[in-house]
Amino acid sequence: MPQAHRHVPQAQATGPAAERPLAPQVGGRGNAAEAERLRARVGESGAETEQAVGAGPTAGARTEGAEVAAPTEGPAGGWVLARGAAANRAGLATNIERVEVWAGLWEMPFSRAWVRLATGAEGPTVVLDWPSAVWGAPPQARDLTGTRMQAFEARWAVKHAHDSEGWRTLDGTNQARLDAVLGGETNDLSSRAQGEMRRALMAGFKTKPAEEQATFLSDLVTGTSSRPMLVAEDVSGSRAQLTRAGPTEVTGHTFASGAADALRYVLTWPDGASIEVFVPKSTDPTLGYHTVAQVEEAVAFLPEANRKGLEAVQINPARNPLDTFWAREYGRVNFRSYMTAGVAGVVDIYPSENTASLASQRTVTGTMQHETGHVWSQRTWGTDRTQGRWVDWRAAMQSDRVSVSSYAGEDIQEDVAETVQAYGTTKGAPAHEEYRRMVPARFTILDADLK
Amino acid sequence: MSHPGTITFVDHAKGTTADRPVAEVPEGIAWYGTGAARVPVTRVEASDRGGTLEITRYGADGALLDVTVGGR
Repeated sequence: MPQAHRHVPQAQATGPAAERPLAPQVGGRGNAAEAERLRARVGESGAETEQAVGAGPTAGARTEGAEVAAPTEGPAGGWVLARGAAANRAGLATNIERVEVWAGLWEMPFSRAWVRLATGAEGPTVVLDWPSAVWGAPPQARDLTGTRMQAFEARWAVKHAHDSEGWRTLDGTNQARLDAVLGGETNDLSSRAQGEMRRALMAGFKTKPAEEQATFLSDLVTGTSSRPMLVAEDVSGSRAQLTRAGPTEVTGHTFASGAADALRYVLTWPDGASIEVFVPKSTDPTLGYHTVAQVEEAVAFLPEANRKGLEAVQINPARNPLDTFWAREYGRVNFRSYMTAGVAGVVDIYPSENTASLASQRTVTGTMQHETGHVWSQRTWGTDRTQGRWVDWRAAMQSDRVSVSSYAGEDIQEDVAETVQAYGTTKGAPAHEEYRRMVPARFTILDADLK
Repeated sequence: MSHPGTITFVDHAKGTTADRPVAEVPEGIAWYGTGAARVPVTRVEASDRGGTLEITRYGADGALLDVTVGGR
C-alpha cells in the first residue's frame, strides 16, 4: 500500500536519486512547468546576453547563442556533468542548458564558458569549472551527472543567505545551523529548505528588510514548512551482509492473521545473531506480499542495537484481524494495517489489498527502522520520559533545534523514531554526515546508544 | 493476570479521548501477546500523518507494547 503508508506520502515520494527530474519543484525537486516558465522568460530577453558568451557572467540571464559555443577542450578536473557517450557536443549543449535554466531560477550569474568538454583518465567528460567567485564555495560532490541538481541548489541557497542583510543579524550558532540545513547536497530535509529559499527569491527575498530576511532564514531552521512531512530517504547507507538459510516447512504456524502453514527462513548476521522469517506457504494471488528477500534487505540496514531486540519477522498470509476494530474506532472505513512492531521482538507485515499497491523496498526498510525505533527506545530508555536518556534527548532537541521531519515535531517519541530512521537509512552515505551536521546532538546520542 | 477493566483511546488527529470498558473491546485489542505472557492494554493512541495512521498500544505501567502503521 505504498501510497497509503506513512513512509510514502504522495507529496514526497521520490524515486532513486538518479531518477529525479531535471527541473525544480515545489518542495525541492523537479517541476517541468516551472522550468518551462523560466525558458519562456529567458527566451524573451536572450538577445541582451549574447555578448556574455565567453565574456563573463550575466546575472540570472541566459547567455544566448545561435549554436552552442565552440567547446573548450581541456584537461579533466572541475565538476563532472556528463561522461562517456554523453560527453559530446550534444551533451555539452544539454548540460549548458541544464545549468543555465537552474542558475536562472536561482538568480545566479551564468556563463557558457564555465561548461566545457574535457578529456582525462576517465575518458571524455562535460565539466563545469565552478565559479567560486560568483557562486560561492563549490559542492562536496564532484560528480554532478544525470539529473541531480541538489548540489547546485545547496551552494546557491547558502550563497544567497550569506549575501543577505538578514544573515548578518543572526548569531553564529544560527548561521551554522542554516549552513547545515541549506548546504545539504543529498538529503530530503535540505532539499525542502532549498526549495523554500528558491521560492523566497522569486518572491523578492533580496529586496526585503533585514529583519524580514532574518525571520525567514530562522524559520528555515525551525519552521515546519521547510521540512518533509516524514523521513523518506532513499536507503543509501551501508548494509550488513546476511546469510539466509531455509526454507523449512512449519505446519500451522501462528501468524497474527491466524494459523497457516509457513516457510521458515533464518537470517544470520556476521556476528552470529539471527532472526526467523516466516512467510505463508500459500498466498492469495489477489493480494500483494513482500518477499523474504525484501525483508532481508530491510533488516540488513537496521542498526545493531535496533535489531538485537528483533526475533522474527512474519509476512502474514492475510490482513490484520484487528483492522475492523481500528477502522471503526478511528473512523477510517478502509483502514488496513501494513506493519506492527512489538516489544516481544516480532514484526508483522500484512499483505496489501492488491499486488499493484504493494509498498516499495524503501517503504518496508524505512518503516521497519521507524517502528522498531519506537520499540528500541522504549526498551532501552524506559517508560518514564522525564528521566534518563529521554531527558538527554530532549536537551539534544533543544540544542539542535532542527527536526528531521514535521512528524518528528509531534512529540519526543516520534522525534526519536524519525531520527532513528534518518540515521539508519543513510548510515555510510553522504546524507548521514549531512544529517549529523543538522542534528548533531541527537546523532551523538544515537552513536552511543544505537551503534 | 486480570485486566484493569478500562481502555483509554486517544485520537490525536481529532483531539478526542474515550474510555471504553474492556468488555466492549475485542480480546485481541485488549491484550497484547498470548497465553501466560499476555499483557493488558490500557491505553491506545493514534496519530495521523499525511493520511496514514500510527496506532500505539500501552500497558498499565505506561510501557509501549506495539506500534501498528497502516493507511486509507
